[in-house]
Amino acid sequence: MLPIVVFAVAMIGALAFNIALVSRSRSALASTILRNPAGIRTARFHIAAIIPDAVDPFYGHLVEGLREEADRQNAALQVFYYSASAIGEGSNPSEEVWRWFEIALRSKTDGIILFQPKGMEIGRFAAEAESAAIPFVPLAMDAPAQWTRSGVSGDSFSQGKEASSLVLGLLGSAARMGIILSADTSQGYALAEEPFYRGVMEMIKNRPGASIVAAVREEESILGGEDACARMLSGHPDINAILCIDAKATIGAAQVIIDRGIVGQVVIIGSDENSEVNRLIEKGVVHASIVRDAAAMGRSAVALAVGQRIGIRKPERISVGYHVKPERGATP
Amino acid sequence: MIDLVSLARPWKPKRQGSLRNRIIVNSIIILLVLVIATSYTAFASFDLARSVELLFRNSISMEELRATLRETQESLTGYLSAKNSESLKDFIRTSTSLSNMELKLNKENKLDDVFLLEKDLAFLVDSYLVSAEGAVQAKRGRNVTQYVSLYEEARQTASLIEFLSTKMDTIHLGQSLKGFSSYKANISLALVSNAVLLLAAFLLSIALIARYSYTITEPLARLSVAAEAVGRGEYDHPLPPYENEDEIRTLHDAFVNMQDSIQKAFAELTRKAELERSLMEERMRVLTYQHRLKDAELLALQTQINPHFLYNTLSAGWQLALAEGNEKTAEFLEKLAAFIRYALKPSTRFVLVSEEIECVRQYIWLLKLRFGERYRFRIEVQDEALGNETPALVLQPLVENAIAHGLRDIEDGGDVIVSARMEGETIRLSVSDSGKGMAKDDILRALSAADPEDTTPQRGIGLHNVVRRVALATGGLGKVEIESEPGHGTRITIVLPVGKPI
Repeated sequence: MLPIVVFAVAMIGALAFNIALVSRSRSALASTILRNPAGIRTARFHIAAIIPDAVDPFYGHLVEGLREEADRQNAALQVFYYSASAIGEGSNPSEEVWRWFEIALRSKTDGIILFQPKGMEIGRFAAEAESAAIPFVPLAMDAPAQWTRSGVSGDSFSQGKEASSLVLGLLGSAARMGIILSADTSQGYALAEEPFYRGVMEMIKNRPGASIVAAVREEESILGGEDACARMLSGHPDINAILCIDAKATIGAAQVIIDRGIVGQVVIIGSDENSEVNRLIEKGVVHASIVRDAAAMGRSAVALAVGQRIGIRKPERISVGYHVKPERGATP
Repeated sequence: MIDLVSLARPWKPKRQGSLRNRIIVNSIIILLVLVIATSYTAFASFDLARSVELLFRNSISMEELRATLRETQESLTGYLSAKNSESLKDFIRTSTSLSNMELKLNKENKLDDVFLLEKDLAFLVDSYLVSAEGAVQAKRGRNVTQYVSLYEEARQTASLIEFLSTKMDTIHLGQSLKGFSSYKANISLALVSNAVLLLAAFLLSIALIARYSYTITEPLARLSVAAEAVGRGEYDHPLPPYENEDEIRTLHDAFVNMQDSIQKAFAELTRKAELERSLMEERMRVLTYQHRLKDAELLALQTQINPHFLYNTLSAGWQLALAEGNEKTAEFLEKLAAFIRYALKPSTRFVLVSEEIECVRQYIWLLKLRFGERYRFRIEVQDEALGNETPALVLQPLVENAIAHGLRDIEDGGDVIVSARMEGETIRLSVSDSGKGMAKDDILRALSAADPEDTTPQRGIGLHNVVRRVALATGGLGKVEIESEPGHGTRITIVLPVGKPI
């Protein structure tokens, strides 16, 4: 009797496993190649988002927020990625950005969301979208002065202030800070004009002794943060605090600190979060991270576009905030 | 008769086919599992084939769209630059094809990246056709500024279509590759699970076959052993209980019932045999009583005709007559005494026919002394008959009857003939008279005495006596025949077998 039970269980188990595997195989084909239009839901709105294809997790969170809100607004979200070095001659957008914008424009979408790198000129985008009666919502890390009508942005100035506040809380007037800023896509955009840098400066101006020893830009590559941090520490070994503009810089700086065996000697205040940043915080390598709410930016952008489309909102400028992780006073 | 049906256990039809049903159901389940697995794999293969076909079809469709777009753009350029009718015809033909292609593309806000790209492409093609047709119309209207502007717009849109369709190809391929990779990863495991499934199904089938073989043959083997034991006469050979509700149970129960029935049948037969033996013994006892009764009856009959004391008295009379010198009386008494001595001997004895004839002669002498010449007697004897045996004292009663009943009321007397002769293997002793004859009922009543069980009251004791004694003495081989007609006399014949009587 026992062999029969064993073989029967094995047979039924194998059948169930087989059905599950084959079903997954068929689902894989059904979801990629054999899609049936009748089985796919039709949304009320069509929103196109043109986003940099950057490695920083900020953009991942941004797209998550876009999708979340699009789902809530019954909108089909179409994300077009352009390469991070999207700035063409002068301050003109690259041809790639233009193509996606044109496609979105001619497809008669219900809203176009464009992430605007520092220095990119977007006046023509706004004008064409307006002439086509399509809501246009630009996104930016910091709201540029050229935004006159609509846009959703973060606040790097406040972020810098918060980061330096944390450092000053730990080191006081002995703070000798190094700052890692994002890749320079503005072609000549001065370091001192960066909102983050300005925020730090604003914070330390009343604290004699505390100073910014160095500021560098990270390259737009996987190891850009490490390279920037290594360069900065090599040139300024007296740095005892490093402030990072994004997650990539944070992870790179932490790696350099670990490699050099100076964990605890150099305070790292990072930005944003992902699993690696969170792990570094838990390990104590990174003291804290100023998490910009990229998902909120995405949600706000979609809601603003759809709101304008159906006429319940007017163009407006929205600034999303940040939060500190771990919260002040909390143990990592 | 033994009621075997009542001895049998209640019939349970539900057992019929239960074992067979289990075998069939198990086989069907295994086959069903294999069919399901095979079907799923077949569906997956079918999906794969469709996917590959669709991939190629999409790729070709995109390529055809690009080729048609290029042809349209070339014919547009040709027409705008040369304004010849051939270019216009080409433009109309290709733009129509392009429009038809555009109609097949998705235009809804589907929650799917590829379908949204299709929508983008559809609107781009639509936009291109509007610009291109506008340019043609402007050319016809000789509005140079407009057709140059629209042509430029169409060219840019065509560029976007090329860009987007190429992107879509890439996306298609990327998604297809992702789908195929996932399919391959899963289907490789599915093939392994298929192998496990087949192996498990094979082993399960073997295990089930072994189990059912054991289930069927083991109790049958026990039944076989029990049947052999029953064959040897061990009707109470114990059969282990069988718990399952199936055909074997039916067979098992039937065999146990048969054992019970056989044992009960044997018990019944034994009881009957005992009863029959008792009945036989009782019958033997009754026969013995009957035999003794016959002996007593014979003795009684003998006593009836031959009172013993007569002989002694007559002997005394004969001596007295001699003493007184009365010779005639002495002769009478001598013959009477001789006759009585003959008659006093056991009537069951056998005597020679000559002795019996001699007895009759003495009796006739006595009758003549009494009746004178009123009756005429004749004795006809074959010498061959004289040496044979006959029950004693069978002729004298017949002669006595002939005188007493046949000739008594006839005034001039009559004739009496006694004969003894051989006829084949029989001796025929007869007494005939010329008297008044016998009624048929009297004849039948007299002959019924041959039956030992007969109790019919008799008027003529002598004839009845003779008929009964001939039958008893010869064990039924001898018989008495009576031929008579009223007014024409009677002949009574004793037919005896030759040789020693039974």
